[in-house]
Amino acid sequence: MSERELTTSQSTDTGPGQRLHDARVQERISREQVAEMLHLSPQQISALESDDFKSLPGATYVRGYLRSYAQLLGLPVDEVVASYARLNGTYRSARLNALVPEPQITTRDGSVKFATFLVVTVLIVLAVIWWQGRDYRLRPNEPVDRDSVTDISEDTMSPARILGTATVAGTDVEPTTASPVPEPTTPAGEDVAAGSARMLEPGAASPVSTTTSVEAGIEQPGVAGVAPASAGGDVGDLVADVAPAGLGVAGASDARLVLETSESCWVDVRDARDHRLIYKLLPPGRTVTVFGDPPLKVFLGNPEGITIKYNGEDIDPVQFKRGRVARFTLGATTASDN
Amino acid sequence: MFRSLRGLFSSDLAIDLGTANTLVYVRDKGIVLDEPSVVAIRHDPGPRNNRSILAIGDQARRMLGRTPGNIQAIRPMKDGVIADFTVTGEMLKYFIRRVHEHRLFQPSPRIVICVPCGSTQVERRAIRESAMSAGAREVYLIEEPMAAAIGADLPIVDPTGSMVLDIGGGTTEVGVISLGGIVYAHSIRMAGDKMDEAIISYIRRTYGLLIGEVTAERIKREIGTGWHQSEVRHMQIKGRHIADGVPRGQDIDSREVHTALSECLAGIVVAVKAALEKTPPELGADVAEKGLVVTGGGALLRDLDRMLAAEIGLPIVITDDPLTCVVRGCGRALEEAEALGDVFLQE
Repeated sequence: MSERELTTSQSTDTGPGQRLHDARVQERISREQVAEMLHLSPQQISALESDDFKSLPGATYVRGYLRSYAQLLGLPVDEVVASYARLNGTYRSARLNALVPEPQITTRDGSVKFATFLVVTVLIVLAVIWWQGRDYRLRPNEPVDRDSVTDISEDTMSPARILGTATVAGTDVEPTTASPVPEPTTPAGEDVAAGSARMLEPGAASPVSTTTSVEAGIEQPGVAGVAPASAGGDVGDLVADVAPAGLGVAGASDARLVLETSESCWVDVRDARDHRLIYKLLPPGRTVTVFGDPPLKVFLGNPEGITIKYNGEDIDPVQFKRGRVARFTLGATTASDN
Repeated sequence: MFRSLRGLFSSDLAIDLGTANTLVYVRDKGIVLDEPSVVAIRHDPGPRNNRSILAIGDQARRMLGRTPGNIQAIRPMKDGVIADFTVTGEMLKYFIRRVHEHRLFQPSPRIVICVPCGSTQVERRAIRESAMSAGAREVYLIEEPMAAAIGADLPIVDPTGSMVLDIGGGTTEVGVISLGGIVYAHSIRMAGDKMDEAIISYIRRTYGLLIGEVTAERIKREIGTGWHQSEVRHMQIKGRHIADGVPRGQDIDSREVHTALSECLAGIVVAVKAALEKTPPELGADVAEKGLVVTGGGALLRDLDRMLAAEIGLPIVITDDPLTCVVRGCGRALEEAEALGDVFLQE
């Protein structure tokens, strides 16, 4: 027993061969007999006992041979195989020589994480840019001279082509004393000008010393250029007066349509290219002037509550009334009912 | 497109869809799941006769033979192939979800599944479809002898013959492999399950006792032996007596179990001998020099190697951890799929 323990301690240092050899000698079995019992060749047994594993097939086979040999001699199988593993390195689980597997790409991979981070960053930046732009558009444009132009908002349809003001004199109007407008080009003016092919010349309005007031920016779509007013004046009249001066540049061929409401009216006016010049519900007491290439297609709801001047000529919309609406075209040859 | 996107959130899997156990190998991780291929199904009462999955794996296995009328514990795989297509799909889906527990998206992995070399085209297609229905993005099939050889780390790409014997639950596969291809392979439907049946049959015939599959498997594991000269072991078993109808105990020994198993073992020996006969002589010489590598749960049968060595006259090598050898081979094939493309079955 003590000899067995001795061989165990030796085997941990040298490998399983010596231990197997000693046990075989102790059992008085010849190498040939072992070879016959295990169906191996005597050379393979010698190689096993001398730890010459290179002359044997792969590690899987060697472990199998050692297991069978140890079992035959009554040695602890696990210890013998473990001593082989110590000598020969650990069990190589899964690699073929010279074959490099392509790694699987998952979300844990650095490249995927980086790409995800990049995409998220770009999205955030785009969102911020959009938000900033949105703020800019919604914010009332600060005029260069607040006295000259107070409140201008953008109209989604055709801002430059609606030159008008709105108001019932003396209600929401905050007339301010006119002061000369040194440079009437304001951000609003630029915005509006950009929306129209035929922008208003700022200079056209500049001779007129002006003040305009527009009640709510949202309520009133674009006021292009500058609308003149004198302090405390009737803004409604003012539009009619000033507009020709300020809007003479709108185009020689443009027709001018002045809409004045006494009651709430739905107004939809389109020009020859079917652009919407105005498309909204006008409250009572509003005067709106629009310019557009004739013929202008006009669609009115509640035509009794509105008076129309087409190039200075009064048009009675009631004559086109059908039901509660009136639909007609102005400026073709004459006004015609659609 | 969505599958490939979901693939980013999935780990590639190798699955040994065995008759007895299902093992799952996850790429870059190793074997993460080893559960019995058993599914417990509850039949809901009502006109529509709905079936729902009650348990899968270990839980379901404990229910085998102990279920009330409305619950049925079944093994959806039989003889290495699918016996119940729907239930197999559900089981696979469950296992795939199990190994992707912490993922937000529904996994869509690439899967390598081993199939018996004797399986028909229809059976292979059933396995492929079942895996696809369980959410797989791509399915590769590999024959079990090849997977076992890769798992056993045999030199399959070298110009030398390697013979492998895989004794599984439903089938026993024997194959000769050289230069990365299968030279000869044969599959017999005589393996662990047939051994259990043989033990049940022997106990009933000899002692008039009825025992279940679980008990039979326990007998095989504890005192089963493949060699008539093995050390004799005893075991106390309990079963229902056929005549009395009441449970009784009985002491059996390993020689009786060997007798019960001898027919199955003889079938395996015949299969190996047939393979050796049909192996080209050069490869046969390689096999004779190196020996026969045995894997699969059947390799754990006590002294099986001695019996095989005595009967066949070759060195017998039992692999390390024979139960996981096939799935390890599938896993290696998966990891080296790009380089080892021809080890997979082509349709």
